[in-house]
Amino acid sequence: MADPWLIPLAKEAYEHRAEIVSGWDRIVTLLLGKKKTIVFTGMGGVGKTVLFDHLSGTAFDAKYAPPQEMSQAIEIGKMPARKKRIKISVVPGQESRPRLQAINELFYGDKPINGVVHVVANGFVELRHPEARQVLIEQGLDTLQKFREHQLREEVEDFDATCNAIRQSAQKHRMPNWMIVAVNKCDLYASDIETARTYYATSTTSPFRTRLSSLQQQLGTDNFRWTIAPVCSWLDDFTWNGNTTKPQLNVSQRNQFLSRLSATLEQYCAD
Amino acid sequence: MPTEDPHVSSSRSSDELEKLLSLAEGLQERCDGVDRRIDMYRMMQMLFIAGAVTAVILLIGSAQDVRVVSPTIARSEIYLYFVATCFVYAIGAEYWIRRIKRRNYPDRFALTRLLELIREVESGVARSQNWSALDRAQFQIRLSRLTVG
Repeated sequence: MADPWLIPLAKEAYEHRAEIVSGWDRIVTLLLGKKKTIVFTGMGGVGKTVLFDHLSGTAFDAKYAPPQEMSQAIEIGKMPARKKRIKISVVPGQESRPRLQAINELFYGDKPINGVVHVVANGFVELRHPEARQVLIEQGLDTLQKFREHQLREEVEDFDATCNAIRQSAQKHRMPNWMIVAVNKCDLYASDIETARTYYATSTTSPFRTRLSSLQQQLGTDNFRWTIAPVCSWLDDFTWNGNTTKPQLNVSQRNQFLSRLSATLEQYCAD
Repeated sequence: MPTEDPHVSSSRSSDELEKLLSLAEGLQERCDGVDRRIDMYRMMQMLFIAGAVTAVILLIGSAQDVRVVSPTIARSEIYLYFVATCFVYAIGAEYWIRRIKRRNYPDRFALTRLLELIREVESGVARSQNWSALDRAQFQIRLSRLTVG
């Protein structure tokens, strides 16, 4: 026969389920730290997945190799951090159904996101298909300079879409309230890093910086802050139409950039 | 050596890109059709398994039941036949699902390659061909409907 205490107890538990869940959340937060959700955005080929793999630690496995195909779905993982639970979601960069679903779910969904890491590559966008490279060369992008200028223009368009999503999310949840612009593949332009910094962060004529300023104005400077962080993950040559750019950094310098980005992320997540 | 007029080449690229997108849309439709068939087989498989589980429960319940349905067959024997049939059909459905997936693999592979190629060249062709913002938006919307997986 059932214990006569069990039914009222279960009834009480059901009635106070919200308090029980929030109590459990408080205990988990106390033990493991606050949960933060970060979204990685950026165009296809800028190196979001590889950067994510480096930040989550997966890439430091001896057998790790960068993915040869484009991401077909949202990638989710955790970043190790002291007294914090940082959940990272990577939105696929290419126009596709999974990308729309990911944007819909993350920016317009019920759960707010804390911050955005927008990954750019200063024009060094990796094209996976030799046929695609050939087509673009035939279309007139026959020098690295022209190719990069073209990709920088594309970056601005992609960034505009991200800014719109952030604005809509902020209208709904008043979050995200920060953004880190991760300027990836800095090993390829380490000697020219200041030019990249000027373009992304300080120039008043740069279309990227102009869009960033307008986003900050739309959201309010007190409600939204941003920073720029040069970074690189997988050190590899970049070849365009026979012109090869070699990495100018070594692994230990790369690791310094990664740990700086990691520290910035933790700092933004702490606030 | 004769050189091609860049405008003609550009226009050709635009047409070729349109052809590739149409091809990808056709492949996507076929893959979606296959997915729907797989979903249907999966549902049938679930129903067979659920039927088998229900029959096993009834079989255990009627273990003591010695009533006879016909002069030669006991009720428990009917349940047993039913369970066996359900499992055979569930295994059959799995075989068909795997077979359909195997046959559809080349289409999926081709679609993945096509989509990656279109996405990588779309921006370059759009700029060199001076597509209007509306044309490009239309192309991107058509492209964003497509996916594999």
